[in-house]
Amino acid sequence: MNIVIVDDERLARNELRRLLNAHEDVCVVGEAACVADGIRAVERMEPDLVLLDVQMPDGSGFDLLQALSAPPPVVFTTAHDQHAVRAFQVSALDYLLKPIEPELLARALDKQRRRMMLAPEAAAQAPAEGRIFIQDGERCWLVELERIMLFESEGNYTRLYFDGQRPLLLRSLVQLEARLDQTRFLRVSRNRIVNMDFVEGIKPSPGGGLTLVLQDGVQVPMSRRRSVQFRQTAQL
Amino acid sequence: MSSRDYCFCQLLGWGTLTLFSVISSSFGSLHAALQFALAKLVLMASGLGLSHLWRARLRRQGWLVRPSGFPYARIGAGLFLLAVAQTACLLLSDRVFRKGAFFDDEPAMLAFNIGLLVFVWLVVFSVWTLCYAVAQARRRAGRFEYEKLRLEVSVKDAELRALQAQVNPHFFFNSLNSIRALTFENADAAARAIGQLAGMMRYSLQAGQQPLVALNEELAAVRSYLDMEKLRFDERLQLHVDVDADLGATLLPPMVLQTLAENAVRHGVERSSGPCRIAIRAWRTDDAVAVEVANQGRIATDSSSTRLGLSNARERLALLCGHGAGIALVESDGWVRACVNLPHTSPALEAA
Repeated sequence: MNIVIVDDERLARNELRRLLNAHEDVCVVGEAACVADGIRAVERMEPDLVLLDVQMPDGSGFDLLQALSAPPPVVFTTAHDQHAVRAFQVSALDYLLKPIEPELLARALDKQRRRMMLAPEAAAQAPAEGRIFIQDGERCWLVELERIMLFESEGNYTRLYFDGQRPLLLRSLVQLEARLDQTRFLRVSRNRIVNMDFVEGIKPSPGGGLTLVLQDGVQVPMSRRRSVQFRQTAQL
Repeated sequence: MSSRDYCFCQLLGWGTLTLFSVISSSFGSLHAALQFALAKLVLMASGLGLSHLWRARLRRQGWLVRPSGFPYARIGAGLFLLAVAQTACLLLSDRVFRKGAFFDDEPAMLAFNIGLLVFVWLVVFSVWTLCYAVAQARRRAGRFEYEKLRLEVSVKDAELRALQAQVNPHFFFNSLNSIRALTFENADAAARAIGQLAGMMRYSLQAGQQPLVALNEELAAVRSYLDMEKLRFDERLQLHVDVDADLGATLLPPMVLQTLAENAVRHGVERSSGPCRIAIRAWRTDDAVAVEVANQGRIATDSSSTRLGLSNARERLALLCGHGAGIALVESDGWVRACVNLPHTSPALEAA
């Protein structure tokens, strides 16, 4: 497992290296002391996991994730940052409190090992897909794109539907579309992209077009032009 | 007694007096009754005016609030003058509205009547002054209670704030993390760091128990703190301390410089990728001792700074070292300077 450590304190980085030494399958492939270097290290090394400090001189760990087009899995490390810890808790993000308990670090590494075993070829085949980091108010998510059911354009923002959550992301639908796998995601109208894995039913709508019924009962109307295209491809 | 209460009491008092004197008299004709009422109305106005002037004088001279007791002779003379003035008004209005009916008596009787009037008005103004003094005393008692309560709350507040000003958990856990790393890297340095952390903890635990500490004690704790931070930040933190030994006994509330040093680290060193200098200086001015904690950087304008630590420190300084003590925060030449002013007249220095 390749790991990049991002922390502005030299001793904290050394301590993490020392703790990781106990795990034979772990290799620290990069270290960075600020957000800017961290972004470069992650983009160059494409690690399996990033151990990420929250506060750094040129920004926060959240800033780093937001700057990455395809953020890797992350475990946050912090000493005591009430605000950040609450964000982790409400968002179910992985975090470790410094000084880090070796057992808790082992558990976090195990989780990543399981994740890598579950989808080894997916990670290899579609590196462009991966994950997306979303911060909406106090809550944040690091979510796999394939788990997102629906993208809905709201001006410069896009609302994402997944796991019962509907956060708003400051990125346009066009920007997001470029990253999406065309075989899984379908642009159904000017302002919506649907994940076909989540489509449970298709029914005709009064205007002659189609309406997709997604999990959770969300109904998405398809534009007439798209409906025609969809009928043609479906018949093929 | 608010000024609204005062106006109400004045109108009620003088109105009642006038009403009584009008209805207790009997008149032959409506015309005479009206004339009499008009004269009494003028008298009421003059009574109001005179008593109001009297109140202004009482307040200006502070005759009713002297701790040494009331200056009876002056108050008595004042009351006599009021009675004479009011009697003069009465005679004047009598002349104008009732064509001098009062003056119809023979001279001896007239003099007696005037004397009687002066006496009656003397009694009226004395009663007025008594009522005013009682109302004032009650008001002061209420205010005193309030002040006492406020002071108690402030002292409790200061204690609480001193407790809150103790070692912040972010620093504490980061320090433990650094020390754990050091134990493998440099055991001696780790042992030293534990000593410093212990000293700092002990100092901050005691800080809540004493209102004032000597500058050199506080500086020792601040040095320990900054040495710990130096472990975390390496060459990013550069410390310069320049304090004359003869200023070491200057007293100040505990944790004030500590708060400023923490701010310097948080807003200066933590935000700087390269070296950031922190300079602590102290010097004597004409009427005060100044202690400055400065860091390279800019004053934080974003929401990450709540200024809570600074305002706490300011309040404790004002509370324990009196007015004139305070902290000025300025930005100049790429430095943020927090300057603590400890005036000589403050209890902090008198005790020294």
